Amino acid sequence: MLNYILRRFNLLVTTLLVLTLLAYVLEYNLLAKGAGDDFWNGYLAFMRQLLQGNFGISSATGMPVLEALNQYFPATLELCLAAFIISLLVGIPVGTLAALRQGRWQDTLILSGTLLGYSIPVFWLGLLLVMFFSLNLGWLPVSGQLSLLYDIPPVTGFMLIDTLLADRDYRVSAFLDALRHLILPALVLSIVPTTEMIRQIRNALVEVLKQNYIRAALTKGLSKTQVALRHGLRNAFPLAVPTLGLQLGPVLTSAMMTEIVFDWPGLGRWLLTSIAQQDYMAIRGGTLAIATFTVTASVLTDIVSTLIYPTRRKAFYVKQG
Amino acid sequence: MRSWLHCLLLTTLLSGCDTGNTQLAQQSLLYCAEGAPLTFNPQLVTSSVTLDATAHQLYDRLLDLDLDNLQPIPALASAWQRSPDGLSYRFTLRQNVAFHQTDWFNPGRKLTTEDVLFTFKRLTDPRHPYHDIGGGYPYFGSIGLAGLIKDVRALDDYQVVFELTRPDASFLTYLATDYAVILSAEYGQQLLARGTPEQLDQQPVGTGPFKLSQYRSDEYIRYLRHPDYWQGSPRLEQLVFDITPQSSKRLAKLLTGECDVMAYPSASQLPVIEEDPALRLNQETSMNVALLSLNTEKPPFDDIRVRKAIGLALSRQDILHAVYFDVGSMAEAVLPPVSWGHHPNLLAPIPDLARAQWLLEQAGLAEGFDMELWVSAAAHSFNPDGVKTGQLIQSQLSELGIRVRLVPLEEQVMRSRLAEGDQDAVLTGWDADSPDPDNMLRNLLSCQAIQAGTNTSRWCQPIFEQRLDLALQTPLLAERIAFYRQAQQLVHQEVPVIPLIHSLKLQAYRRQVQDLRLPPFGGVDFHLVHKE
Repeated sequence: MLNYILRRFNLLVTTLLVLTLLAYVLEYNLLAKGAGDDFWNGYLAFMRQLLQGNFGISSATGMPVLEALNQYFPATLELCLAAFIISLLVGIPVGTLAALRQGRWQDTLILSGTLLGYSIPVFWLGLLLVMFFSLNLGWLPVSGQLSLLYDIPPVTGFMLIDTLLADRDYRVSAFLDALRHLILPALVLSIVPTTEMIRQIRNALVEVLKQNYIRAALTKGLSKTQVALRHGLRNAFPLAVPTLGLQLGPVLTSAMMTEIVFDWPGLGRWLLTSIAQQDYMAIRGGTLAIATFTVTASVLTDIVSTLIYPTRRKAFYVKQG
Repeated sequence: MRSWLHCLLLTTLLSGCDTGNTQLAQQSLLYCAEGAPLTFNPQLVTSSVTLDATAHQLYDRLLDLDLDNLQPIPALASAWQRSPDGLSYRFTLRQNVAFHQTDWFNPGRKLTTEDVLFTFKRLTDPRHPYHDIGGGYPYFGSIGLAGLIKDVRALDDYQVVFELTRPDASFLTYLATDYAVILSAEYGQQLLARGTPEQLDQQPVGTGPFKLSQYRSDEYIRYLRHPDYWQGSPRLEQLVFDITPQSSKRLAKLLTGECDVMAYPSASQLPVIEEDPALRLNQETSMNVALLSLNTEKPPFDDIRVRKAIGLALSRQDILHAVYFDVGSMAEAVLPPVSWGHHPNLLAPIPDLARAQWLLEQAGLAEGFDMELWVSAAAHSFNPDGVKTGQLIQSQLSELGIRVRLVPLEEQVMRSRLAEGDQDAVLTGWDADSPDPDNMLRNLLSCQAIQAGTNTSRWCQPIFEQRLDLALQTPLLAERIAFYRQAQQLVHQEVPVIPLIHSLKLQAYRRQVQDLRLPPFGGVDFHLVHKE
């Protein structure tokens, strides 16, 4: 087991090193080459800076890149978390339903629905929802994270939390406003992980329902739904949950597009602005941060799910033996 | 499916709770601006975005312009006297003018002549500790303020004398432009003692109706009321600039009430705005011009025949129609008809491809050539859509075999690259800061303005310079008009720039907003604005 974890960490560190190297190659070719710096010396100096937490200064705003990351990253995370929560809330029941009605019209309908959801471009759906809910109905705001009427000092960077922590009379209405701002982008962003969640839960549950212990439970006289909820889902999760970790990459990518559509003040929009302003330090910092986060998170979900669900370990031991 | 239901339920619930903060909304104004300011000191820029965001919010000037008759009126200076020879002006300052109290500065005294000296010495005296901080003064550089002001002296705490090297009929107008804001000398000294002088322009302190509370770059600026404002504290508690570069998004926010005022709606959006009973529209004929500027220092544009050929190939009519939706007028010369310096007899050439082709053949370029055209990625008051204008020009010039590569640039990048002077051609323009014809002509075309980076054609013509100078030295209006006409005649003959369109200035706002006025020159002013 320890061996397994060490190997995973080894992968993590190597990937991160390759990432920094890539980031440095970009910088070396764009900026430092003229100075005639030696490549490897430059790389070492660059790594030293990074390890000290020095990501450079943004040329567009004059702000340290690390500070900007602190400011924008939580906003992106908040959005992604909300999307994942929606995907769990919707994905698990709908996936279960599809598995129980496997092969019937409900199943077909749900599966075609997920396929459709998976193929809809994020920005198109986002604009459509804005048109309907904001412009036609006037229910939800067009863009942003919070109405600018409210002056909320950043503490955690998560707007929902910060509004409640703020020492203001309008705390509650600011919180509700932040929630209203979150609904549309989170909904749009949740489409991809939700469809994935539905399919994974369905497939896993279908697989589990074929097992002998399920048959045994059925012969005891439990109804199919009861069996699926008590025995089926519990055993389907280990198969389905790790794929959620793999979803992080695609979700972060769609998050960038969602941020642009909704003017969400997160990493993606910041990166895009930085590119338009030719702000190399910011581009480098942002790319490194996102890549590090994705790689770390997916390695961690892998390790955690292996620790929690022994069935996954079994497969691993077999390979080793 | 269920997620939709959830969402519906949740939203109806939430929108019910949202009415709790009408008072906050009542005392706040959200302005959807088209871009982020480059700095908080208008002296350092010519960008209209920055002027809108800073000049009338944070600062005051010695004089203001009366918006109706365009004459200077008292502001921080309550009175002034001009010496008979026109070489010296004495200003009497208003007393009890308070500076902003902010997180970064606690004013120890009211406005005195010391602040006026500090401000103008910084602009004109190379030995002043702040002179080289901030990267130059494009407007004052192009009008040659340093050469014009011989000395600024304080007679006492409230009397200041400006001595000029030559009479200048526009001197008072310079002091009333958005650029001539008065900074705090006390704050300057504190920053110098702290060793962070560059903060003077980033964390501003002024005497204006609003003070800066918070700026999150590229997102928003939050201003709070200045309670001790000398003209009476504004009725708005806070003023927020929501930076929204896309005009469609600004309109969407205006429609949903997330903005109270929208900067520069594009002409295509006017029908929507006019149809909505909750919205109002301000239209103002404004002194501006959009133009195509050709780098006269760089071949093939150093050849006047090439410049003329390009002028003959362009169809202003199409640009006016497609980009401005006919809200504006075709520019015949640089100065628009509303200016008193306008030359009524200059007419832009009628498009004539055969003649343009012949001119190119004469210049040895019958096969055409490749060129880059820089356009601004953001909307401007003088050009709502630089990229689209560029595309039209691209297709119009392709008829001559000129292959245009469009390079859309962000404001900041554009400014720094223009200073290097390596452009072929750039789509630019000017939004006048004062009613004076000198303002437009000198900033766009004088030799000094090459250094300042506003003369993008890099055209330097001594006779033109001389005409501009002569116009400033005579107090007689008829003579000044004659000189400006001669100057424009020269521009017309040598075509360093091709004037395209004079646009209308537009601003849309929600019905509740009261007393919002769109000035014909310079930046917006929210001092008197309030909500119903």
